[in-house]
Amino acid sequence: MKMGKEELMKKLEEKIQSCQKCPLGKLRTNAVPGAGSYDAKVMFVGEAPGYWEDQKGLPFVGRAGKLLDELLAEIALSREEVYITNIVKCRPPENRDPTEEEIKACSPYLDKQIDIIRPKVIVPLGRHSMSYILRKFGFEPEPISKIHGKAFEAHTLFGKIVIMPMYHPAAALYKPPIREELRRGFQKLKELIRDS
Amino acid sequence: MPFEVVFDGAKDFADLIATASNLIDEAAFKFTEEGISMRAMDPSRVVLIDLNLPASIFSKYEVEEEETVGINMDHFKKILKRGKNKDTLILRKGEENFLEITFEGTAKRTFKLPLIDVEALELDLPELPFTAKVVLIGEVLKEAVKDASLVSDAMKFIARENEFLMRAEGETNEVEIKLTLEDEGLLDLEVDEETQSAYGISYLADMIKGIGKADEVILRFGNEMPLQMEYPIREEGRLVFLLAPRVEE
Repeated sequence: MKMGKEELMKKLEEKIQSCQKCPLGKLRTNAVPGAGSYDAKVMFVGEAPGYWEDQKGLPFVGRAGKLLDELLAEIALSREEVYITNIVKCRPPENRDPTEEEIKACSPYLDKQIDIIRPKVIVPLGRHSMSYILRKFGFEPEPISKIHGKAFEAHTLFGKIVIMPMYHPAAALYKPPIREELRRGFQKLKELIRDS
Repeated sequence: MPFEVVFDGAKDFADLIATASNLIDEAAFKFTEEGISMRAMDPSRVVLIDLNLPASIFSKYEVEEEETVGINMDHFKKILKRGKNKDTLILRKGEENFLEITFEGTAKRTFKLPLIDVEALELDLPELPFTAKVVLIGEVLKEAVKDASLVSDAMKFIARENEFLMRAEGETNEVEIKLTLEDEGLLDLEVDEETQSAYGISYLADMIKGIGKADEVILRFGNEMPLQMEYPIREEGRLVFLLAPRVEE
């Protein structure tokens, strides 16, 4: 019998939690598969878990996560209505950037999450996530300062998917201008969701 | 579980895999008593590939228990390209996590390809309400895609009661390939209503690479709907592509 979304996601999450495809598997406290609605219209994709994410097994639970909650609330969305994940599911030591090898090993999980959830909008948060998602859908990545809040439309077999890269909330913690950019980006996201 | 299958004409098999490897990096091949199947999508989810090779097209087919093997398509393609047309191809797996690829010709050459962990695609082929069916000679489609690639990155398929058109329009140039049932290249045309849809040429170019010039190609499409392209493999097998349309907004 064919599995439903819930079952497929649970199976995938179990696989991620026991994954040893790269050395990060040995260093983690918890893998962080992602959280939110499996029927979400919007999917946020960050870079990799940090200290608190690794401790709790949940994405975006530190200060950057708090800002993400605020930004979501400003456009009348909650975490329960969207899906939040990272391109790399385990914490790199010292919160360093994920390596190419780690992204290569881990990205099939993200691909599968996208296939199961089938979001209408994907919001990459951060440089690595933006590069991976844009390339995956056939677009050439550009500096985030040029394409923050820009909508890229991909016509797939599942219909149209809009990719809207944004600054990572962590980049806005001490930089009010970036925080304002993020606010404006989320307003565009609100319009996009309303129209999709 | 171990299996062994033998295919006469190693080059034909290599062409099949080469076509699929243009679009996907890795794939899960399912070996069952009935045959070999593989279903995968390209990373951008614009093309779905569905390959079915029934046991009957192999000269020897010994698969006792169902087994799915994950394969790096680029490595598989490069190895298969080493086979000659007259070589017999043997695919064998023992208890180890390797696929043995043997070419039997003037010598016996065996490669060992490590198997990889691939997420199998759990997706049924959607039943789409196509309104046009076109059967073409492979050569016509291959030439049309080459013609269209000179002027644009997209190509429109238009099916009417008595004709099938392939059209591409660039900023300055345009090209139209027109076929009626009086032309040798068009073997069949069934149209429920006038149907038009556009598709990306780079994807079409990858999809047609493995088609023989004399092969029959079956196209099914609807207005702004995916294109289903199917071609037979040794009569009983088939390779099917589903390509998302280029929607003009």
